Amino acid sequence: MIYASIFLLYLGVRQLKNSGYSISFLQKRLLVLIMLITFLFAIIICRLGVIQLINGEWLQAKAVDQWTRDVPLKAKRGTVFDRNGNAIAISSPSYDVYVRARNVDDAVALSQKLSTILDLEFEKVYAKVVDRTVSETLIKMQVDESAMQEIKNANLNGVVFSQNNVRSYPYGDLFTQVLGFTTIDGIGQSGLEAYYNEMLTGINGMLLTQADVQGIEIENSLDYYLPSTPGLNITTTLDAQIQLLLEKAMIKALQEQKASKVTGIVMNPNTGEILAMGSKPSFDLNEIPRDNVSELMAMAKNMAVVDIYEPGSTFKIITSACALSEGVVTVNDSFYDPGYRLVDGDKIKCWKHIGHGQQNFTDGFCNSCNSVFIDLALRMGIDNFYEMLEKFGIGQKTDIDFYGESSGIMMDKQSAKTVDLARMGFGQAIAVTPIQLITALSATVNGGKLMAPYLAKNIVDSEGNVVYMASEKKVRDVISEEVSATIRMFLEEAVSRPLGKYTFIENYCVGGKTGTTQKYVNGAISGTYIASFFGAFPCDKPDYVILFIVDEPTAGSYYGSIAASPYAKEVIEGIIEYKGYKPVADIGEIENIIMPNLVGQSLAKASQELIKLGLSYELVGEGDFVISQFPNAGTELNAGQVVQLNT
Amino acid sequence: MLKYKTYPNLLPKSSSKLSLKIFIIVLSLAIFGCIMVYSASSYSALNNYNNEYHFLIKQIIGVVLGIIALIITYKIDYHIYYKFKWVACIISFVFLILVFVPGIGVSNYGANRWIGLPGFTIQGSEIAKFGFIIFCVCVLCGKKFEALKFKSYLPILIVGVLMCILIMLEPNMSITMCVGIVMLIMLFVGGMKLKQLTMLAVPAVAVVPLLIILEPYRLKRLFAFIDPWASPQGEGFQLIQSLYSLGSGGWFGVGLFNSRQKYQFLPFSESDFIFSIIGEEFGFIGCLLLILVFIALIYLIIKVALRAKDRFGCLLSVGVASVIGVQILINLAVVTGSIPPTGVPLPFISAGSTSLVVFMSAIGVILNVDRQSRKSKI
Repeated sequence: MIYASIFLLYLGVRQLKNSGYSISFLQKRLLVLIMLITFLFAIIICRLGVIQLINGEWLQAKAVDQWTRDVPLKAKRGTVFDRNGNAIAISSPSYDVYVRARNVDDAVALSQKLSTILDLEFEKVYAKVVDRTVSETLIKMQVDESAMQEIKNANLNGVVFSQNNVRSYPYGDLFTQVLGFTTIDGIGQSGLEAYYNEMLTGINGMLLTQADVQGIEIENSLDYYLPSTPGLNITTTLDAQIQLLLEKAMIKALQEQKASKVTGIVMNPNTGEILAMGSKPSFDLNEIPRDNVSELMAMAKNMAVVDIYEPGSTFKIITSACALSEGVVTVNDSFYDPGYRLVDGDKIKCWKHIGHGQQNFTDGFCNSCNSVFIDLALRMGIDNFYEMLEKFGIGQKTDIDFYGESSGIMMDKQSAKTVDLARMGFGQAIAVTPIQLITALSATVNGGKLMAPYLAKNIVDSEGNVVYMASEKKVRDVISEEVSATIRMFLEEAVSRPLGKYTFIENYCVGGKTGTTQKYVNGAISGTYIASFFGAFPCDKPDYVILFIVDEPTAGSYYGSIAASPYAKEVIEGIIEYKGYKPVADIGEIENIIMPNLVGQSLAKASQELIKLGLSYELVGEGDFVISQFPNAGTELNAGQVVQLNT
Repeated sequence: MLKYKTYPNLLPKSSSKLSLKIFIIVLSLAIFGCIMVYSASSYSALNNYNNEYHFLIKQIIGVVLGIIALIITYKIDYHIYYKFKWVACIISFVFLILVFVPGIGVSNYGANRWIGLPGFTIQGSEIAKFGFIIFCVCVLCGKKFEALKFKSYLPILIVGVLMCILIMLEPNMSITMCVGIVMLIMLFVGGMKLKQLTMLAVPAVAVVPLLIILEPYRLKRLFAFIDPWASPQGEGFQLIQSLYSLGSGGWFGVGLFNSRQKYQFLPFSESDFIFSIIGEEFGFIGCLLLILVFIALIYLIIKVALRAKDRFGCLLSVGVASVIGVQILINLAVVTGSIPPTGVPLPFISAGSTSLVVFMSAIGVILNVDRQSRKSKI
C-alpha cells in the first residue's frame, strides 16, 4: 500500500515534468505535502486492513458477545420413581417474573395485573414498573406455571419470565437419606440425588436475544433458541409402601425405646434390590433445615451405608453358615456351655453367665450361646474363617450405587490372635456397615448366592429410551443350598422357640435373629447398647430380608428381642398385608397376655410363670431373685413376646 | 486594484471539468453522509428523541444550507478575502472567546466547544479554523512579505499559537492539533526555511507532556489507546467499540443499515465515529473506496492550487486542502486506534451542520479560484 502510494506520487511528479515546465519552489513543497498526506493515508489503510481483515473475526466474536443477551433455559431435572412408578422426587417449572420498564406501555394496568395475580402491593409493583433507571427489575421469584400463564394471557408488554425448576418430594419425610436432596440451585447434594446428579441434571438450553447496549431487545431481530434437554428419569428399586412401613416402625422405635438413632433396611435377598432404607431422626425433604448445617449433615447421612457398627449376635448367622460350609459342625453336634470359654488363658463369658449347659448346635443357635460360636470359630481357624468371611463380603464395600460407603473394619489377618478369632465368632471385634451385613445375611438365606445390592433399577430419557437397565448381579456362590436351608431352619427356630412354629407372626413362617451389642466409646465399654434384629420372610424361601438397628435404647431394655424385633415384626406384618401373603398354617388365635408382677419372686418361680403364660424372657444379672422387670406389670403383650428380668 | 505577488502559472489552463469533479465529489460525500448519519443514528434518535429521523433531518438541512453557502462563496471573487485579513482574525477570536461566555457558550461532555443559537449550536473552532487560514494566506501574500525572513512569519505564529491556546482551554485537543498542523503546513508551503520549521517543531513536541500534566485524563486516554483492553468498561470502551465495529465489517461489510454497533454500543456513532459504522456496513473495500475518494478530493484541490492564477488563490486552496486532509487523517487515526481518542468530525460525512456549512463554503471558495484561473488564462 505504501509502495503503491509512492508510485502514484512518482507518476504525479513525472506528469509535472512532462508538462514541460520547470518545477517552482512552491510546487516542490506542494508535492512534498501531497506525498506526506498520501503516505499517512496509506498507513491508515494498512491499519484498517489489520483491524478488518486480520483481526476482524476475533473482534467480531467479541462483539457478538455484547450484542446478544442469553437467557438460560434450565433443563428439567429428571424424576425419580419408586419401583411401582410412584414419583418420589420431581421437578416442576417455576418462573421468576421481571419487568423491563422501557418496554412497558401501560404501567398502571400492568401493575394492577401483577399485584393481583402475584399477591403483591400495588404501590410497590408500580414503583418498579415505572423505574426506567434500570433495564430490568425482579418482581417476584418462584411463581408457579398457572400464575405465569395468567400474566402471559393478559398480553401486557414489558413482562419477562425466566424459567427455573423447583425440586419437590411427594413423599416428604420418607426416603430422606436414601433419596437425598439438591442445593437450591438444583445440584444433587446427598443421596441418590448426588450419586446420579449428572444423569438427572440434563443439559441447559439457551435463548439468545439480540439486544442493545442496555440489554433492551431489538425489535424484529432473530432470536436463537436452543432448547434444553431434560434430565434422565430414574426408577429405583425402592418401594414407597415398604419404605412407609419401615419408617413408621423406625419412628415408633425411636420414641418408645428412647433411642438416639434407628436404622433399617429391607431388601430382596434373591436379587439384591433395596426395597426400603433409612434412618431416624430425619427431616422432611420439602423443608430442609439448611440453617444448621452440622445437624442437617448428621440427619442426611445414610447410616445404613455409611456407618459401621459391631454386629453382635446377628453375625452368628454368618459364623454358623461358615462353620457348616467348612464342615466343622453338624446340626446335631453337642456343645457344653458353663457360661464361659477359656481361650488362650482369657475367660470369655457367655451373655448368660450361669451358662446354657448341654445343648446341640440348633439349641446353641437359638440360645445365641457365645461359647458355641467361639468353638466354631476356633474349629475353623483363622485362615478358613477369614476366607469364608471374605467370600461373604465382610470387610469389603458392596459397591452399592451410593456415595460414602464404608468398608467396615476387620482385623488384619496376621495380627489377629486366637482371642480375636473367638470374639469374631459371636460378632465382636469386627465392624460392618448395615448394608454389608444384610447383603451377607441375604446370601445365607437365599440359597448361598452373594447378590450385589443396588438402588437404580433403570434409567430412561425423557422420550422413553432406556439408557441403563440394571440387572441382578451375583457376586459369587458362597455356600451351598443345603447350608442355606439349615440357616433358614435355624432362623425360624430362633424366633419361634417360645411358642412353637408360626408364632412370631401368627400363621406365617418367619425367620430371624436378634443381636445386642455393647457400644465401645474410645475403646472402653460405654454402658450403652445397640439392639438389632435380622428377619427373613417367608422363611422357607425368603422374598424379604430386614435389618433393624436401634442405637442406644434407653427406655428400659437393650435386648434386641425387646428393643428391635417387635418393630421389625411390624414391618413384616405390613409387608404381609401389602403383598397379600396367605397364611401357611392355622394355629388359632393367640390370646393377649397381661404381664404379671414378678418382682421379688425367685427366678425359678418367675420363669415357670412366664413359660406358662407363653412369654419368653431375657435375664440380666446373676442373682436368684427378680429385682425389676420390663415391661411393667399390667402391660398387654402378645404371646411369644420377650420380656426382661433383672436379678 | 490590489497588487499580488504573482508567479508564472506553470500548468495548462484549468478546464471546467475540474470544478465539476470537485463539486460532484463533495455533493456525493454529503449525500452519503446523510445516509450514514441516518443509519448510525436512527436507533439512538428513536430512543432519545422519539424520532428516528432526528439527526437525518438536521443533516439534510445542513446539506441544503451548505449548498447555498457553496453557491454564495462560488459567486464571490476570492480576492475579497484579502481585505478580511484582520476581520477574519477578529471574528475567529470572537467565536473562540464566545464559547466561554455564560449564556452563549454551551457546555457538553465537560467542554465548552459550542455556541448556543436558537435551534442549533455552532462549534466556534470550526469557524476559527478557516478564519485562521484566511489570515495566514493574507500574511503570506502581504506586500511586506519576504519569504526568506523569519520576521515575515511572525504574525502567523503569534495568531496561531494564541488560537491554539484558546482552543486548548475549551478544551479541544484535536482541533488544537488540527490548527497547529495546518499552521505548520502553511508555513512550509509559504516558504519558510526548513531549519526554522524544524526549530518550531521542537517546542510543539515539548508541549505534549505539559498538556498531559495539566489534564491527567489525557494520560488515561493515552494508556487506553496503547492497550484499550486494560479497561474495556472505562477509558478503553470507546476505542474497543470502534474496533468491534470495524472488525465486524471484514472485507465487504454487513450491508447498509445492518450495523449492530449502532445500537448504542458505539458512542458518537453518528458524529466522530461514523467511519466505524461505515467500516462495519461496507467493510474494508468500502473504507478503501471512501479513502480514495477523499485522496482524490485533496488531490483535485491541490491541482486547483497549482493552476490558480495567483499566489493568493494558490495558498488559499492549499489551506483548505490541508484543513480537510488533516481533519480526515486525525479522524481516521482516532477511529482505527492509531492515535489517542479525541473528538474530531469526519468532513462532509459526520453529523453536524456547522461543520458541513463551513466545509461547503470553503469548497465554494476553491471553485471560485478555479473559475477565475479558467477565465484569466484563456
